[in-house]
Amino acid sequence: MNPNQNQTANSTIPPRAPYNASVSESNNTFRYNSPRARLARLGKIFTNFFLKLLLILGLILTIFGGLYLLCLAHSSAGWLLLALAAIFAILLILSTFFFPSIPPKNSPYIDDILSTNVLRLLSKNPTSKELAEILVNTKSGNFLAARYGMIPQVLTQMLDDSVTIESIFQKSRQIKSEINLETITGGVLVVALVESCPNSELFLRRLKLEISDLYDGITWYAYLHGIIKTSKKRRHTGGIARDLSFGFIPTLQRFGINISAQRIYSKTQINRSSQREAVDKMIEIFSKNGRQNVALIGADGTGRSTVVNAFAEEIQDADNKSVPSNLKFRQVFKLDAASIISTASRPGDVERLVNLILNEAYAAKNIIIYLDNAHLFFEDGVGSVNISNLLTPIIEAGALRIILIFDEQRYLELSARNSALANSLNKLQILPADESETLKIMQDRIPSLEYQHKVTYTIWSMKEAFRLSQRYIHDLEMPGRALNLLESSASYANQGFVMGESVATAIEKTQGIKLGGTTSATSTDSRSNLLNMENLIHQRMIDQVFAVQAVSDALRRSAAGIRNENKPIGTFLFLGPTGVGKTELAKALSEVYFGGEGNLVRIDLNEYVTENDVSRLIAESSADPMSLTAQVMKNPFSVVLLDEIEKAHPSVLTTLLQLLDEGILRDTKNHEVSFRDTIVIATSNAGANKIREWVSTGKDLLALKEDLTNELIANNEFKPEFLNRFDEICLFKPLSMEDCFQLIDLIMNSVNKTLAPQKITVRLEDAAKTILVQRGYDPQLGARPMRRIVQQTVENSVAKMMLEGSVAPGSEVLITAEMLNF
Amino acid sequence: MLLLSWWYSAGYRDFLQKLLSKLHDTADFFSIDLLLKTLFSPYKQISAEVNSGSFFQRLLDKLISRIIGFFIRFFIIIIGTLALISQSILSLFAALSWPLLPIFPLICFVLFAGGTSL
Repeated sequence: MNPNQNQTANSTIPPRAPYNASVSESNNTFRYNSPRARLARLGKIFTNFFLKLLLILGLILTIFGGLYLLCLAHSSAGWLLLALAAIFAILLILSTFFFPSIPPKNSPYIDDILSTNVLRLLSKNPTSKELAEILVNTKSGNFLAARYGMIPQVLTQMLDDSVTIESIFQKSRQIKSEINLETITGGVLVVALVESCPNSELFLRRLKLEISDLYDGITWYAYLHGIIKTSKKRRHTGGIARDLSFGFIPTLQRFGINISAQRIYSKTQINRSSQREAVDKMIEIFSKNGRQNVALIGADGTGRSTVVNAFAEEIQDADNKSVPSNLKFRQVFKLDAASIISTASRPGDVERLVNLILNEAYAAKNIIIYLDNAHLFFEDGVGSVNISNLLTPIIEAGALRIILIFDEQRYLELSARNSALANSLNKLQILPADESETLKIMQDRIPSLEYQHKVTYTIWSMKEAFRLSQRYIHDLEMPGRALNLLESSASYANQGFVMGESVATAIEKTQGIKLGGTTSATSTDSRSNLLNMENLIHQRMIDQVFAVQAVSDALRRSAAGIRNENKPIGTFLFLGPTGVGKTELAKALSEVYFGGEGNLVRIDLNEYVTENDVSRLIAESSADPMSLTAQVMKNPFSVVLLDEIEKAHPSVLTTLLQLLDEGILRDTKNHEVSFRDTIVIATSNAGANKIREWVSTGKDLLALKEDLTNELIANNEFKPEFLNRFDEICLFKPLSMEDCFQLIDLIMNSVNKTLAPQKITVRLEDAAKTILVQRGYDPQLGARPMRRIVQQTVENSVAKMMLEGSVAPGSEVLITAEMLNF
Repeated sequence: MLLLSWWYSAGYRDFLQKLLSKLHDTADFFSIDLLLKTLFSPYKQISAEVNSGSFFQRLLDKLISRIIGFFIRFFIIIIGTLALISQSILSLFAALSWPLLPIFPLICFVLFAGGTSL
């Protein structure tokens, strides 16, 4: 549970008596005519805007009318009007402060602790079904309906006869007590209803939810409610005197951004202990004598700017007793490196300008300089400026308060170049947020995102934003990466709701990543594809039954969830002679499993034969978009085909060990690239002769697998630790003459597919087929010569006929043996 | 009964808190304590730079800035004090009116019945 959420709940809600489990059954019977229930229904009248307007008008008119009659007309009737004015005033006060939230009573009766919203909706003899239907009309019930899918239809479906309204009320008392709420709200009743249903677990599982998610939903709502309440209070920020006592800063105002002025009425929620500690530490450092600087070090997206914003807000808050007076109302100014550099036209201008700004800040006595991306101020190069000579003495002397933001790498580079500067900085590390912290930060941010984009975020969108961003976004850290994805998902909302699918679409569109595979395993089409995988593959390739069977079984296990999530979907080593269908099986898999041959990342490892080629294999995407890591980063749902693996340098194979083992590789920029949604297939011709000999003796290929593996290890062709990392080693047998007859049919199918736009069909006469097989069959080279021979004969013949005009669209060309005997 | 108990307990307490909070807002806006603390500080820290002019020139410069600062702050303190006093009087009146409001219609009826006029 969010510690801040608890704080808010505790600060706005008075502590209640502990839950008394011994409440009698009759106390859970709703009393329709109890004073509180009656007042709640009466209060419903005052929700009418026009009635309120009428009351205000009536109040004004009766006051003035009464005073006129009394003072000017000297008539006692004025008292009557003033009496009426008092009644209007009372009604206005009640309608504004009392009726919207009638205070609960300290009594055992359920109607005395139900929230006003719920009381207004309940009928005389409410049933559990009625409750399920009306809860969506309460604010917190609606909150759970919109974000957690707890709509009336779902709640009604969950209910059975065993669930009575009394049992729901009883459960709701327990939840209210656990969460420490003042009243039983609609949201509490939703959760109580769900928990009271015997089959609720099944329903929740279908919705991919757990009961703890719903509890979290109630806390989230209470927390937001608390924030709204707090935000209505005016913040005290020093008033007129603050600005009068501090300096005149025209240059700083021109080249800097006043963060304090921007955040004057904001309240940044700090949900992470590391951020809270950083803010406290900043206050401590800046309020004491010593080096008056703070260097916030952390990766992009970890929330370093949030820390600065929170710090700027806290020192503006006159009511914050933890801020010492020497720090109160100080203004945090962010220096804009780009505008400083663009203004400077001559050498030395930048230094002069920065000097002027810093002098101004020093004289003003209330400025804290904030250098975002501080490395820009200490570097030579385009878009950078090196003012380290100017800043180092100021930082060392501690004359001016400065906040600097660095990412880890840049900070290390700076400390290597300028150790004096690095040593004089007070370093604070900001670590990435974990999952629960990120989810809470998302909960905080969602109200403003919803307001900006006019959408509603569901719980699934948040979970998916965390999951997908963690896996596929590499240039930011948590929580920034999840928040960015969540925000971009708003554009892909479905009827105003941001669902898990919206997040998947957003990552596809914004990152160029294809996620088709994430849902494919669960869709009906994909299930059918998986069940018929062998048939679908054999539509494209001949024989190799054992290999196809082994691969299909492994992928079905994976799709059913019986796999290690921290490894690729499947890792296979295909061994066999050339031209027997190893690559074709990889292509077939990419089509059957991932929906298209476009999802095949092919790397020819005969191009990676030296040790230096490792860096090419894992090059960062901007350096080489065709490297293995770059291609998989863009297309994480794919078949990775590592062709001719036996030719790769041993260092390349060692690099691939991590991929096979953990499903990740780090690129040259140390970005983690996930291979956990890929099928990795390595092909090799190693052992081809042995396979050929074995098959020629008519023995079963399966029996050879162990012998061949041992032989490859003994011959030093592969290391045992490499072979052991594959899920399956599949042996491909050489094609027989009979296989080639089937192969001809497949090749002809592909020829006809090519000719389909011309509406021409080509058919082979049996005798022609025999000629082609006799000419094309080569036990050494497999299917490849067969394709070539079809190209040379059939395709050429058809092309000539088309050019001569002897074949019209819609006709069928029969290729005879005579036509081939030229 | 529930209404009356709210009016004279939680309702009244919240109302008094609101009045105090408004007073606090006004006090923060004029920030008289801060104005008093910095009454003789130079106006917006404007004065000659440390390295410019003679000592007497710099002293004069700072003195003028302090005098301007004093007058502006003093003027704001007077306005702020008046604003706070008037708001306090109004708040006191409102605080006393709240408990009387429910019986005010009754009082008015009695006065009307008695034919009282001003």
